[in-house]
Amino acid sequence: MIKLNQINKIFSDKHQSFHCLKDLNLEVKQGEFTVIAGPSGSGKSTLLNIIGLLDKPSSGSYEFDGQNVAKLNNNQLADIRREKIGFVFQAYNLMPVLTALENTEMIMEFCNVDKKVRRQRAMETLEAVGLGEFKNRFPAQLSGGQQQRVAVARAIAAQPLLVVADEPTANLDSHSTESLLDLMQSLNQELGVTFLFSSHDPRVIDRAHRVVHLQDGQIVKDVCTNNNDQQVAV
Amino acid sequence: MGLYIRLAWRNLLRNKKRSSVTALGITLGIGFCITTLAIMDGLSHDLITGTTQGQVGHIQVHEQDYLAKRQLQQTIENNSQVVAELRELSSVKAAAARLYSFGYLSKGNKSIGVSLLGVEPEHERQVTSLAEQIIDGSFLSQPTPWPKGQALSEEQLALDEQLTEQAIANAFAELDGLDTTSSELQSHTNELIDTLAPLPFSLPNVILGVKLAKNLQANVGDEITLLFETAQGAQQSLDLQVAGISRQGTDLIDRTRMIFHIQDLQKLLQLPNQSHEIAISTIDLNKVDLAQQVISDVLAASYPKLSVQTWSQLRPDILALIQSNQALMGTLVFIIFLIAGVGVMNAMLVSVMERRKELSLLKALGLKGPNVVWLVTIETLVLTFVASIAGLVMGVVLGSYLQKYGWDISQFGEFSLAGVGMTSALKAKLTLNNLFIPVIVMFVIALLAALYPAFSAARLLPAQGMRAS
Repeated sequence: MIKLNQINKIFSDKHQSFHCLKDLNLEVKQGEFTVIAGPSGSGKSTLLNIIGLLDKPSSGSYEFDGQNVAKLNNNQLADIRREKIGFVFQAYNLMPVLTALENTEMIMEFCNVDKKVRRQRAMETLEAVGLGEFKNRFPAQLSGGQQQRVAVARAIAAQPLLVVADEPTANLDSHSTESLLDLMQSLNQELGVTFLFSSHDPRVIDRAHRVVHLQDGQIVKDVCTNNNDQQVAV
Repeated sequence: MGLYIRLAWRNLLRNKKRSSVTALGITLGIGFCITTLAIMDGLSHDLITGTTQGQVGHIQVHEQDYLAKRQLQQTIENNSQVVAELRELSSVKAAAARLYSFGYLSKGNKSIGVSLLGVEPEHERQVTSLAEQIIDGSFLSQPTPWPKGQALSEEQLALDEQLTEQAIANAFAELDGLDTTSSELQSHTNELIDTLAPLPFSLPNVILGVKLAKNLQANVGDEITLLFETAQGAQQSLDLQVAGISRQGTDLIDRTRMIFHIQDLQKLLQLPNQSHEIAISTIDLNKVDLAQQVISDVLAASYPKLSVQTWSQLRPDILALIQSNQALMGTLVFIIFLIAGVGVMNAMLVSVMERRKELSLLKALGLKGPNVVWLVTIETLVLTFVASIAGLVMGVVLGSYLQKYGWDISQFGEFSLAGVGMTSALKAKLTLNNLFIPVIVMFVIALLAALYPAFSAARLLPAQGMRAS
């Protein structure tokens, strides 16, 4: 589903440039539960941004769901993000003026899904993440863990192919982390949604089927764990 | 659309203070603009009404060169026939003939130069508000009964010739320094004049301007004496009686004008069945140009020497004044809107800067640049819509009050514009244009003001925005 080939990302301004990702190659298959691990500054978020089509690589080719997306314009990328990718961010990033239910159905509304359908699907998703009774609460009225659950609900309600989660547990306590990981893992297993995390949280890494280690913009280790009955590949 | 409006509305409510201040600017801008435009329209309406009903009428007919030279002899002949033909036209509501001249008015030891105006009272009432300007006494009604003059007999003609020769001889004798005073010559001359143009049976009634009456110390019922010149150049005097005193509102007119029944003035000036002007009131002032064309066509066949003008041709200064006032007010309104527009732009720009994280999140979640522009624009439109309703209410309340009660400017003294006496209260005139033009203009300006913040928001790169957060 994801095929990165010789990806480079260079950030530069008038005075200096920074080579963030260097000749990176990566392939992710449908249904994987993969973590990109590495220390701060290793390029995890940048790689995730490129995979999630939030940023463009400086060079290299990127094939997403069979389509070469490296040369698409911003509007075309937005279309793919909206229809095929769900996002979960470290800081939850919910719309503060929308309720949990409205946040959950927001992307479906962008996609012009029928009101009845999207309302039902959003409600089911909120129930699935255990927040059905909090549907009318605004983000400020929810705990950090609950907000992140709403973010997950928002990410999966539109039934994307891929969920990109950038350090989703960084601001959560261990109970909320476990509960969130349980949730995402069950969604992965039941719905076959591909999950791609960036994290250096051992609790997340322990749950992953595959861990891609990144250091100084390069993949230094790519390990398939025995979770989910898979074999160590590398 | 529902999500956009919901987001816009709730975002506005998030920062109530900022949204309220911005909305207040728009509300005050629209409210004051509506009021200003209503006052402007009221003023224009008063100016046009004051001009047309004050004296000019909607249309006037003159001898073709009269307006340029204004000579006593430049009259409309067959006045009664011309007026009768005009009154039969469907576009003409009323027509009133007028006669003008000058004289010298005295009472006791006070003398003042006056302008004489002869009117047809019953028709003038339907053309102008002259009759309503009476503040003491009453307006004119019937002409003064006047004996008919008789032609001179052969004997009298011979006497006239003899008296003329004697007058010429006396004039030459006077040049030689001789005393030629002859009461007999004068009394015979007066007898002949009385035969030809006898004095009226009673004193003709006249209306004096309020300041003229004050300066002359004349009251209703008082006798005054007018020295005037006939169309033939003979100087005569006649005693008159003050029937009423009028206040037109313009200093010059109130200080110099004396009004006669037109038939009395025709007798005085020896201009039978003649007038200098026919003032016309049309059925519809808005179609005055059409009426002018019809009247011109009708008169052209039988009376080629007559010309027809509309009020705006007769008083281009009034039209220019109205247009310059409108331009001035337009500029003022534009400045008010510009200030409100800058306020809107500032508020939206700050709002966008504060919400970079949210806007970039929306882009990250798949909202396209144009959608973000739309989102910010809708927010501006919702704010403008709410503020416009408040502004409309404010404008309607203020405008209605000023339409009903006016704005009392009597403390500034008598007020006239371009010679048109205005009422002591400036009255507004609310129209649909006055109400909706400010709102429409405000929406356009708010939209323009929203463009920069909206495009700034649309340019946010989702990844960069998220990183900045």
